[in-house]
Amino acid sequence: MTRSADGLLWAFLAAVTFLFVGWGLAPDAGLFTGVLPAPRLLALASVIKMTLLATSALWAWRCRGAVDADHPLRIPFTMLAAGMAATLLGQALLAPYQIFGGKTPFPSAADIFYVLAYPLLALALFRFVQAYGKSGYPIGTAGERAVVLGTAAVTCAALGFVVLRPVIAAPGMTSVERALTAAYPALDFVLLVPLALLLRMSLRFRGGKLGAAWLTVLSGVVFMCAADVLFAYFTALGRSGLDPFVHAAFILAYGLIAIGVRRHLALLAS
Amino acid sequence: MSAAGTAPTPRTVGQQVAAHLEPYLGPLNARVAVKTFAQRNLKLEADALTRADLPALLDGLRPMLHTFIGRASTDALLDAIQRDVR
Repeated sequence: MTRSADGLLWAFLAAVTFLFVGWGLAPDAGLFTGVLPAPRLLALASVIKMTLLATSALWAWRCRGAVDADHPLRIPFTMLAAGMAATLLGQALLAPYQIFGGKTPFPSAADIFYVLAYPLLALALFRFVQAYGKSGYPIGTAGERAVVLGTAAVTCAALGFVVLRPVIAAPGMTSVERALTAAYPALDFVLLVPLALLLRMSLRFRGGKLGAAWLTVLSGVVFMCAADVLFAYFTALGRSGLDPFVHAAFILAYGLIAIGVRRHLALLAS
Repeated sequence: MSAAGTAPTPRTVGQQVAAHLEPYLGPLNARVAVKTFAQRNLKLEADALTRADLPALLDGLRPMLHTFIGRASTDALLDAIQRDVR
């Protein structure tokens, strides 16, 4: 995998993100009323998300294969691949509706796989932290890690209260819709706890290939959480006109995770 | 001699090892890694390392690097350190 392939991935990700942000900012522009109307953009978003999810799952699986059977990163990369594959399955179940019907059913069977992805991704992040901690490198004392974990947990609980309250109180939703709409941000906050530990470690590694790989993956996870929160808010508020921003955030999230995992693969397989 | 006509500052063994680790671990962690494993494996400060200390230092670094960047990259990196550090 070459540096130019890396550049192409970044350029592609930037272009499609700007396209969807542009759609959100100027939905009446000629481009979005003529060549790329809403149903076509929804189909495009669906295909791009599936491509990025399939790529990240495949690359995470190849990372698993690039290390020895007893390597401490083998299990977390397996879980990461499984988490991305579960998200891909969810997206694949939505795809026929989005591509051929121009709409996104909610709730649907896809939500089973989306929800299933969270414990897999959270466990993967925890196992990465554990593996790096056992490597012999000083990633911080148990007390320091407890402080980071505690701070992240308290911050997430506070954010959860702020974010979930209007979602839970929103009128006009069935109990399943309400539960799922609230579940996504809540699960994201669980994901943010191990993410805080990995982020702390990655910042120390900045300037190196390992730090670049992690900061890219973790940025993707942060955008995924942001996308879920936006989705919850816009669904609760009934603001479907803001969907383009949700698509942009998910595309950016999946793309960053794919690029970051590819960087890990380049390190492990070189 | 450098282009400016001044002699380049001689680098210690520890600095040379850190320079090899830097592309992978970043400048801060490369120095911390050398310092940590010099103290842990050899009971030495990083600046006091000599070429004779390299095998023990690299033995200490190997498991950590193996976890971080995999066996192939670790082997290539440690071979390069063994070959290039003077």
